[in-house]
Amino acid sequence: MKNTEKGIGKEAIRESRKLKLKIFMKNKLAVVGLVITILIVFLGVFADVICPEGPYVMDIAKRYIEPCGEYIFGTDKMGRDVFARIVYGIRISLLVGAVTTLVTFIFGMVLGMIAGYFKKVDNIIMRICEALMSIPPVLMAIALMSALEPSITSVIMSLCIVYTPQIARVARGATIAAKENTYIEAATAQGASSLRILLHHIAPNILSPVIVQGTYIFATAIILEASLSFLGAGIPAPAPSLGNILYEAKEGIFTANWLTIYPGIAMVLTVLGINILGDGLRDVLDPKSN
Amino acid sequence: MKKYVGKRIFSVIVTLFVLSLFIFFLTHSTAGDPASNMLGSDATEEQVEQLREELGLNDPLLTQYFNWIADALKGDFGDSYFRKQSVIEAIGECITPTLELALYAEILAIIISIPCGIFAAKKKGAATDLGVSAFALVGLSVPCFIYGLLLILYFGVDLGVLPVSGYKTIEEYGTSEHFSYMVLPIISLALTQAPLLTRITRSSMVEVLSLDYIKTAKAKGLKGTTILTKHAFRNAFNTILTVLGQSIGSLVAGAAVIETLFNIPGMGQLVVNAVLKRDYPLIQGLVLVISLVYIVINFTIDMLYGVIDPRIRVSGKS
Repeated sequence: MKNTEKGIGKEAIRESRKLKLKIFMKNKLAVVGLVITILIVFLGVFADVICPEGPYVMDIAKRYIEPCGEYIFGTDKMGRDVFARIVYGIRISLLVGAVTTLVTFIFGMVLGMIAGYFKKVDNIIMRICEALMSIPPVLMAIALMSALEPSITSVIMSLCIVYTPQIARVARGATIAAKENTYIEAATAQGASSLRILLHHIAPNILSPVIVQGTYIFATAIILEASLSFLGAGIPAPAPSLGNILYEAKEGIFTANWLTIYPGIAMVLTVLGINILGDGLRDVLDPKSN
Repeated sequence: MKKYVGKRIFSVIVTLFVLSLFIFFLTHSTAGDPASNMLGSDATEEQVEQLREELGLNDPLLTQYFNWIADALKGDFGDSYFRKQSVIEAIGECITPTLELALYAEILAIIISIPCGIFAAKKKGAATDLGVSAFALVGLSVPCFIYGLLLILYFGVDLGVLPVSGYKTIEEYGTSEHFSYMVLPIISLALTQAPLLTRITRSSMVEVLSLDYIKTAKAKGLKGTTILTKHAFRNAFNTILTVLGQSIGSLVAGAAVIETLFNIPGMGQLVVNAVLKRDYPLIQGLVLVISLVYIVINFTIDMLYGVIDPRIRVSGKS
């Protein structure tokens, strides 16, 4: 990889990137996904600019106000602005999803590459991963939450333990496939160390499938966080997440349907955008899998 | 085949061992102390200490683990701290609603998704296909409780035609009463299961339909439906079965959320309450039993391949 980048290969890599971008932009659905995701991320990142008063302002006199000019999505049982709660909820949900994806990506890559490259530890690592994957994700996550103090950090930790084995499995499979290539043989023959081969030759070549898997984990992590919060074992109140906003909506479902509808739409759009984006990325990065 | 079965059984045993270690140490590294939780805030320190001793919480962790495993192998998972009954009794009491819910939902999901997937694959690229694929994509992005909430809003609140909370047994209340309570939970859960199954059915059918022997069958002038069902679907079925097995996990997980939402006294609600009350033995027992069921189902499916697909039976590879 390094040698080619220095020399003639540089041009080719740039060409291939351009081509990939072109394929991606041609896929109209993927572009829609990208636009939705950018919009949602924009809302999350600039939450305190969009709603400077924050998600916690209560006014009991203004309970259950229907959507109107002042409160476009209405207010909840404590008179809080639902729009503000959704925007900050998106911020927290995205934060949980992004940190989980990043951490599982790093740990999963490392574990998967070690398991795929060194046969001796393969069995140990994969058996542990299999055992962890045999517990249904929601069950595992709430069991983990029972062992931890309720906080955002705990939620992220639980989700990381749930999803790392999945990334590790994909990374391991890709490593085993990449190991068969002649350039690895060549590097070994030249006396390259295992570390060098893993970092410089294997890692760049297994990135595509792992990134694709990562986007799905981003989406499912947001759903799982929401499910946890919906069960009361996730992000603790009063901090808003899309899940616990909907959890609170349950109480007012007979009087205030806007408490369910708007946060629900926000939740679905967030996950849908990422899922479509993931499908688009898969078509570009990993065409064989479709 | 024998070697294949032996290998799979061995790996199941190893997986179970790792799983048991994980579950045990997970529930014992917790922040809350169950003894003081059980007695409430009025208890004196001596009372708490005495209860800890009785429950065996003062033994070294390793001893506690081996005691737990030895009992578990005999089918004894200990007593729930909060429900005045053993873990096995608690599970026995709560398992029926969950099994019913999961079974109905899975059947409905299969009825929706397999025909949809087959039609989409047959009309690849046409409007039907795009419609089905879009449904599947959107469906994958909706958590089950959102379906539940929306169904409650529409059928329970706006129309007021269906009950939105509770559970009625068939024996006591009859079939129609039973299903009137179950229908919304079933639909919510089935709608979360269907998209993935549809996608897998579609993609494995697309793959099979592009193979040469399908062209041969077409050239021989066989009827379209015969080709689809007898030739193509049988070969796509393996992949579908695998995903069906794996989806049992998400079914159980979905059931936990749906049971809590619709107030159904099943395993899911049992898990959630056990976690909220930090009922260690119940959490351990439940996670172990549910995972065991999941492992056994997937093991059975792996074995079924041998029956369905002669190639595996002969070569011993999966």
